[in-house]
Amino acid sequence: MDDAELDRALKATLSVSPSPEFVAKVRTAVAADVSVPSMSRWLVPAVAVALVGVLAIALTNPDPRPAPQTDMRPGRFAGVDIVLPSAAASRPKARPIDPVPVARNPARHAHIRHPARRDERAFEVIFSPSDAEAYRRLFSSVGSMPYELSGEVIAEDNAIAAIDFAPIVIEPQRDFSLDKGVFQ
Amino acid sequence: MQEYIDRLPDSLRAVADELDSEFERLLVESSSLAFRVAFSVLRQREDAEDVAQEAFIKAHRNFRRLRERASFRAWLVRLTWRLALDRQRANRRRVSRDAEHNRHRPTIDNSDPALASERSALVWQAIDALPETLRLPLVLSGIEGHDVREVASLLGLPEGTVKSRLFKAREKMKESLKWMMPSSTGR
Repeated sequence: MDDAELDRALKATLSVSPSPEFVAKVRTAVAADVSVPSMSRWLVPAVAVALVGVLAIALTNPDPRPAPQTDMRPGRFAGVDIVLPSAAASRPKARPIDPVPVARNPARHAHIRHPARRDERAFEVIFSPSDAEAYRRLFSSVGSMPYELSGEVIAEDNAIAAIDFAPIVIEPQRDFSLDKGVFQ
Repeated sequence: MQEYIDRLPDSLRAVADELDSEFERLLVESSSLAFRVAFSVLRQREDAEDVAQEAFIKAHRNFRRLRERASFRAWLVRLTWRLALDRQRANRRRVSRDAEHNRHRPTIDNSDPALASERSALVWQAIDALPETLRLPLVLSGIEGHDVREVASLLGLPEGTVKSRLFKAREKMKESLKWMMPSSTGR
């Protein structure tokens, strides 16, 4: 096959023509496309895709929670148990979760306190037995005293009858030059 | 100022009319080209007309944004070629699905008069055997007698590239048709 024969074969094969009404059909299609708003070309499919997606998610992942209750009494709404203060007072308090393993000897671990209860510990001061009575009397008298502690009040309420001072002895000053060897 | 505002709709309408008339002229000029490009891929008149119509609709949507009106034909050819390839893939998928259900029916529709002759069928087989980079230059050179420069303009390729591709395509075609049409080689 030479070039001329190939050209003739190609020309005969490719020389197909559209139907006579093809141009008119294109004109009609273009005019119909112009009448459609440009936004609706993508807005309608986008909304459809979004709806299908929402439906697919809703159908494939049903809500495992029970249906909401219709009981509209105070303290009970949509499955949430709201405890009023009066009811809370009568209800036994739930014990907080203990981070320390339960299986333990209570006597052995009595010194371990729960972190949440740490704030509940009372401040504790240890006195010697000989001073305990004196401090007890002091605090009891302070507790009954008025809040305005003026000088006269303190002087009137001073229950100390007598103060014993040690005897004061005045001696001549020592000669520190004799202690050189001690500080060197 | 008000004078310009009052005249603005008229001027816009004039521009729109001008664009429509220009598109109408290009539609008449290029309708056969788009159809033949689509037909070279699809081999079915209805499908080719549908694809060419779709290409014109897309071209009209973007016609106002097309800066170079002179490149409209090249743009239309590439658009039609891509749409035709998409349609061909969809047809093949559909045919393969149908073939699974009904194996005894032929999968290729040869009812078109253009494929009636055995010679045309052999030429189409040889064209189909070409790689895509060689097929489109050969088809465009066979359509409406485009020369190398016009094919290069339509494809947006250098003339040298088109020339070498056309040479390779023609050599492959001759080789294929020599085996397909042995009677023609003896003449």
